[in-house]
Amino acid sequence: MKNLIYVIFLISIVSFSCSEKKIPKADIYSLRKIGMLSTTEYSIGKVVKLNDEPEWYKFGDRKILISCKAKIKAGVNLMEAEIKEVDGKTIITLPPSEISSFAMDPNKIITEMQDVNGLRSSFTQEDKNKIMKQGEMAILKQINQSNIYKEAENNAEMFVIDFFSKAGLENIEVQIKPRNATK
Amino acid sequence: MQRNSYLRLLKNIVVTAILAGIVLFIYFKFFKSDGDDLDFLIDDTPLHIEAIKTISEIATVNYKDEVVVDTIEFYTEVKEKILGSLERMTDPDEIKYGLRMQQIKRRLTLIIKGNVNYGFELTKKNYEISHNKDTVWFNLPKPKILSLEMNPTQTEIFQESGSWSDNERKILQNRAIEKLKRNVELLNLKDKAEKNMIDLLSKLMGDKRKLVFYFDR
Repeated sequence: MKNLIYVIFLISIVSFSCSEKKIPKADIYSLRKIGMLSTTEYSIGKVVKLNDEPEWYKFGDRKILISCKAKIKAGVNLMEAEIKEVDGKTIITLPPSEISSFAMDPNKIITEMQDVNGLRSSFTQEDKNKIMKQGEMAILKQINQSNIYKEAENNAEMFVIDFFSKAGLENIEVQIKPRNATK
Repeated sequence: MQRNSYLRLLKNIVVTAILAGIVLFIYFKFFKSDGDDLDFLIDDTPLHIEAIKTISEIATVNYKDEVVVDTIEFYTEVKEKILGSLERMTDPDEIKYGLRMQQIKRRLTLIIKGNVNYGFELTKKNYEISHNKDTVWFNLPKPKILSLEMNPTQTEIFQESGSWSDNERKILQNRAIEKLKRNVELLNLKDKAEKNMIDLLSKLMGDKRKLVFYFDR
């Protein structure tokens, strides 16, 4: 019995030590062919506020205010556009608008105020980056509630009519696919 | 006799709990820094829309790249190194560097996943389209970088030892931006952007007329 337990113990040690490490999945970076027409640009600002209240084992508080600026562009993907001639009319169907670019300028991420007291650690650049990651997600969530998509679609319609009229297409009518239809 | 064994058990449990408490206190005080907590949550604050602009940009190439930028500072004197190492022993974040008595005073390494949209910025004045029965002529501007994204979610602080200011971090990020721009030039995205624009407009126009493209050089 003792021998059996010993053998099982040895086998388990060997199997643990021989377990293969999985190679983490990595993204593949390549040049992508796109056709994104951006028609609206929002310049936005936000103050990111963190009040890092201590756990039971920590003494002291940490507070920080970081201001940031971002430029958000929205538009339509022309790769998904379709042009058809129906009864002497040119019907251009565009997909619903989407965010085409979201860029936070690192030079405009500014720590406005920080207060660390008690036995708490100062905010490191890693802490600040973690805070700003949340700030970035919050901006993206909030921008969805703005008019950016509607404005982008209106501007895209105007641009497309102007652009293709110059190229000789006549009686242009632009239709935008409803947002839910593509999902 | 049984009562005694219960008392002994109780005593053992209390002593174990006290020892565990001491160990936990030492761990949280000296080995666990505030930065280890991933669960902090920012407060809700409003979004300020400062400007809204109508633009006309057609991006035809998207380029993603990962750039590494690093800055390092060494101790110049032995005395400075010893004092620095001793100082580090008092900081839970830095204790591991203090123990090694290494020559590096501070180091900050960032890995940034950049995202570039490259294409054409069209204004009323910089492009022209004309046509006749058989041909359409497109005179388009030079392609350029339309947006360069290096956001916090794309930034990894790979190594941070010592104290770093926001300005020093910005200098590193600006170096990363320059690196990415240089890579864009090396890849000759200009030609690719022009080719993709021709493909896109040819597909969209889809008529029998001849399409002629000129790009501002």
